Formats: sequence, structure tokens, C-alpha cells
Amino acid sequence: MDALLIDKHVKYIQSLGENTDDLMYHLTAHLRLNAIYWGLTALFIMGHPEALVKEDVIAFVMSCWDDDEGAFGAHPGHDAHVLPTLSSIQILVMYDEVERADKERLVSYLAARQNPSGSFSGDRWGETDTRFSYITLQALELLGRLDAIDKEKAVAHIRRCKNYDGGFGATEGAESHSGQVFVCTAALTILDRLDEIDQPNLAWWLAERQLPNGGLNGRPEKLEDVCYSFWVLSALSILHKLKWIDSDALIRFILSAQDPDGGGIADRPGDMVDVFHTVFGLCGLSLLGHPDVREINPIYCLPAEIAKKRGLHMNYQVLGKDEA
Amino acid sequence: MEFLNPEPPYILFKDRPEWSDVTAVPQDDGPSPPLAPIMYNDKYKDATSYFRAIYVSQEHSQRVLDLTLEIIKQNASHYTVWQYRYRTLIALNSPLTEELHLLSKLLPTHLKSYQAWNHRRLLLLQLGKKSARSELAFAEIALAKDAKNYHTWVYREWLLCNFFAPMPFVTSTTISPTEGEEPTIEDLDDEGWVDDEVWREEVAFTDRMLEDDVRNNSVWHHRFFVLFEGPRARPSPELVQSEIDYTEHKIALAPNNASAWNYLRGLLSNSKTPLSTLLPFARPYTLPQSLQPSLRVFAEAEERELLPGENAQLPCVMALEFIADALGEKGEVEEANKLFDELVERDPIRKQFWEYRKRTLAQAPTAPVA
Repeated sequence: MDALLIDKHVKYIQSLGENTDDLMYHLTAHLRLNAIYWGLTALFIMGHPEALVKEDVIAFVMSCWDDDEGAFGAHPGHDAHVLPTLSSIQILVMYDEVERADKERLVSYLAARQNPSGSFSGDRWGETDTRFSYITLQALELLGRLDAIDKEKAVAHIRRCKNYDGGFGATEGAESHSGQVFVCTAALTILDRLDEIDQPNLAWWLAERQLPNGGLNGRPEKLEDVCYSFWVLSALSILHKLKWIDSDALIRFILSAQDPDGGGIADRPGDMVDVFHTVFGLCGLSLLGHPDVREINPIYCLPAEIAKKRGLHMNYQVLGKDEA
Repeated sequence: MEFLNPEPPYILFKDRPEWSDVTAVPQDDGPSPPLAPIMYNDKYKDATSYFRAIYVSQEHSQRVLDLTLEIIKQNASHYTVWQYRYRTLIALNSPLTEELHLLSKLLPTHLKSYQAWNHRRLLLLQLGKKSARSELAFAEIALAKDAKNYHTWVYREWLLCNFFAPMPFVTSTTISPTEGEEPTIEDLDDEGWVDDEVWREEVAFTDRMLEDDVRNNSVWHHRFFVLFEGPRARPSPELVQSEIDYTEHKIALAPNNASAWNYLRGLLSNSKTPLSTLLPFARPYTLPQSLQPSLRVFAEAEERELLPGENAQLPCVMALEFIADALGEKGEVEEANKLFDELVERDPIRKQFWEYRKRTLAQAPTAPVA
């Protein structure tokens, strides 16, 4: 089996900010804060949290504050949105600096995203998605203010997004998708409402996502992709059913998608690497108990030690670790 | 002839006379030295610098429409630009059908852009039901390009629920087009019969899609939504039966199709029908190809249609599992266990799962998976 190239991956993440000639780079300004969160999370679970300069990262986060709306945009000058707002809060939490944010304004921005139906919008323009339910709920829990929204309605909306195969979609009536299954399962965990899940049916659907080459796909009859190592495994971990798939085959698949020269992990072997697949590949390895990766808490996709310190939900499974 | 009308050369906004009164605002990369400096190409840097300028001055004009279109063509994920463009269209009272046509040209290359689809929804909320029907056709064209595109399917369901359901569906996609305003959806009264026709056509649409690709899970899902869960669903025992027949025929075409087997299970659990009802159908799919000729000989013509084809890969794992569950449901633990053993052998990647199923069956002989 291939080795996990920790040093190469650390260097790859460090180099991301320096790669100024990359043609694709300017296109990702709308994901810049997310990218920093992905990179930082990867560094934390690889045991190198110091690889980025803490004060620089925090200064960048604070420069993305949208003072008109009272939340964070993805890049200085971009409109506020729940996605970069969660990334900002997660970064500050990882550095134990969440006090630097204007909590009161954040809470009112986040709470205002809930719609009368219980769903959540991503910003004031209204696009809704179960991703935004999860993002807002996690952000509010990290701020200690889950009381700011109507939890019953939030649960009811997620319940309406459940499908006949046990999975969840982006909106009511939308097809089950592993990514949406992750956000709904984690959101219900945050709300202490895992009883809403048709657990055997969903876990079976998730196990069915593994393909003969070991990789996982997002929907039936689709291609495997390293990022589903996190979307599928996180949900299986929350349901304590990680053993239902072949973990050795999946570990082999993730490791084979590493770039042995420049570092980083790609969506599948031979493709270009990016920070998104790098962090989710590493998170997958973490849940499968790879000895070189520290524990990730799949409910928040945050390092477990940090989640534990803050008293967050910790009920999930990691392979090779004794279950309480 | 194209060479007589070539694409005009691209002119940077700083060199366009109609922009000479605007001072561009370069990007603020945050604190210096920047953590993540971005070296844009000149074209994009130029356009977004002018965008920042008009964003500050809150200008809404025709030239803003030109500018935002240019940026969207270069980067369809810039959500602030899309939003500003929408506000400008509304402020100028621009003809939105033209915007819709423009978007129809752009979308096929940006099928995975959340922002582009959201823009389309905002336009439809303004244009109302009269435009929604041709939108279903547009979604079908988009699906011809990418038949499993998640955004396109979500958009299609949104159209159906928002414009063709008698009672406004309790939808999660209620969009506020401008702050503080409720969406303007046309009055849907007195159009019930038209709506019904749209939903009937929707079933025929899934037929067409499954004829193209019987393994497309998005289509199976959509069919279930239309017939059993959507706002115009009218589930009945007759409907369940005809859908079972339909699905059995589709499984006969391609037995190793998880989407069809899942749909079949969805039908049974939704109507609380025991799995064992379909034992006679599923059994032949658990037998090797070598035994199939004799099954064909003894089958009636109608039954023969439901037998696996000569090229089918048999035994089919999903059929083995189906029978194991059906037997477990009936309390025939020993028989079910034999099948789980066979599954361990034929589907080793999920070995642990099949062994788990065996253990739980021994404890409580009812199928946990319905």
C-alpha cells in the first residue's frame, strides 16, 4: 500500500498562497475563506497547525468582514454569505480566537437566514439548500447560540427532504446525494434529533456507495471521487456503521490519488490535486483510523481535540478506536 | 458567412470611452503582505476593478449590464456580480424574457453553477406561470446535455411545485427577489386541469428518460416524487401495482441496476406491501445463467418477459439481497442466512455488512432494511 506523504501535503498547502501564476486561481476568490479553512483543517489533523502564520490567517479572516450585513464574505469586498461565515468561525475556533468576532451581529445575521418553512437561505438573496441548514446550525452551535432559531421547524424541514431510499436531498423532493446526506445527518446530530433518521436504510444506502475499486460515489451509478470519502464516511461514522464498507480498499483508493511529487490529493488517481480533495481525503483516512492522521470530528469537520475542548457533540465512530 | 462578421476584438474597460468617467477600484487583498495574493489575468482584473467602482457608487445602468455579463462569462461563480446584475435588471425595468434567452445560451456551459440557476429562478418568479411551461422544455434540453445534473433536476421540481401545484407547495425554495418583498407568483386558481396535464406529461417524460438510460437514478427518483410524494401525487393500490409491473420490466432489461431495485423497494415500503409478494419475480435473478434456458421453456409468454436476458450478469447481488430480506421478513432465518453467505462471497467489499445482517437476523428475524 502507498505511504501517506504528510510532508509533501504540508508543503503543498503552504504553497497555495504563493502560486500566483495559476490561471484558475482568480476564479476561486469566492471560495478563498473556505480554502483557508480546508487547508488549516488538513494541517491540524496532520499535526502541523503552525505551518501557516496564525496572525496572518486571522488578519485575512477579519478583512473579509462585511460590516453592512454583519457577517463574513468569501474575500474582502464580497457580500456576506453563511458559507464563508462558517469557515471564518471555524478558523477562529481552531485558533481559540472566536472572541475576536462580533458574536452578537453574527448571531442575528445567522438567525435571520431561517425561513418560515424552517429551511435556511445562504444569504439575503434567498437560495435555500439543506447545506445552509447545516452551516447555520453549526455556526450557531460554535457561537453557543442554537437558541436563536426555531429548532423544531429546522428539524421538520430536514424531515421533508428525506427520500424513499433513506437519504436526503438539497431541497424537498430532490434526489438523495451523499453530500446532502452528510449535512442532514450532522445537522440532526447538532439538534439532538438522530431519531429522525431511518438508520438501517440510510446506512445501507451509504454502504452501497462503495465501488469495486474501493472508492465511494455520491449517487447510484456515478463515478467514485475522493471527497465522498468524507461525505459518506462522516454519515456512516455518526451512525456507527463504518464497518459496513471495506476500509482497506478505500484507504488504498485515497492513497493512490496522492500526487507523489507536488503533494496534495486529487478526486481520483491521475487527476490534478486541489485543497478540497486533500482535506477530505485526509478526513476519510482519519475516520478509517490511519495512524498518521489525527482524529477529525465528522459532525463539524473540525479536529476532535478542539471539538472536545469546546464541549461539542462527540458521538461518532472512528475505526480502531474503542467505542464507549 | 462567419468571416464577414468576425468577433470584435476584446477591449478592456479602461479603454472603453463610455467608461472614461469611472475610476476603477483595484482589489483589496486584505492586510499586507497579503496571505493569498491573487495574480489575475488582465482582462478579469480590469473588469472586476470597474465592477467594484460601480458597486460603490450603486450605479444601475445598461453599461452595468454589459460589464456584469462580461465578468459572468469569465467567472460564472461570482455570486455578488449575479446579484448586482439582477438588481440592475429590476431597477432598469429590463425585458426579462431577453435575459432568460441570454441565460439559455450561457447555462449549457455552466450547468454546475449554483448562481446561474438561482438567477434563472429569480427571473421566473418575475415572469410567472406563463413562462414556466417552456421552462420545462428548457430543463429537458439541459438534461440532454447532462442527464444527472443535480441543479437541473432541482430546478425542474421547483418549476413543477411552484407553478403547477394547486396549493403552493411548502417549498424550501421560497426566494425573496428583493429585500423585504414577497415573491410574486401568479394566481394559480382555476388552472387545475392544465396543471394535471403537466404532471401527467411529467410521467411520460420520465419514461423517455429511462428509455435513454435505465440506470439514471435521478430519473427514478423524479418518477417517485411525481407519482408518490409531490403535491399532485395520488397514490393508490392500482398505481403501486402498475409501477411494480413497470419496474419489473425495467429490471428485466438490466438486472444489476441499483436504482431500479431501490425504486421497487420504495414502492413496497411506501404501500406497506411485504417483500415476499415479489418472490416469484426475484427468484430467477438469483440463479446462474446456465439454469435460465429451462426457466424460459416452462414460462408463459408474459412471464418470459420478466425473466433475465441472455446477456445478464447472474446471479444478481441485488436480487439475492431482496430474497434474503423477503425470507427474513417471513421468519425463514435459515434460508435467508444461506443467501447472506452467498452475498459475502459475491460482494466481498460489503462483507461486514452482510455478516451484520446475518447476526441481526438471528436476534430479531425481521428485515431491518425495508
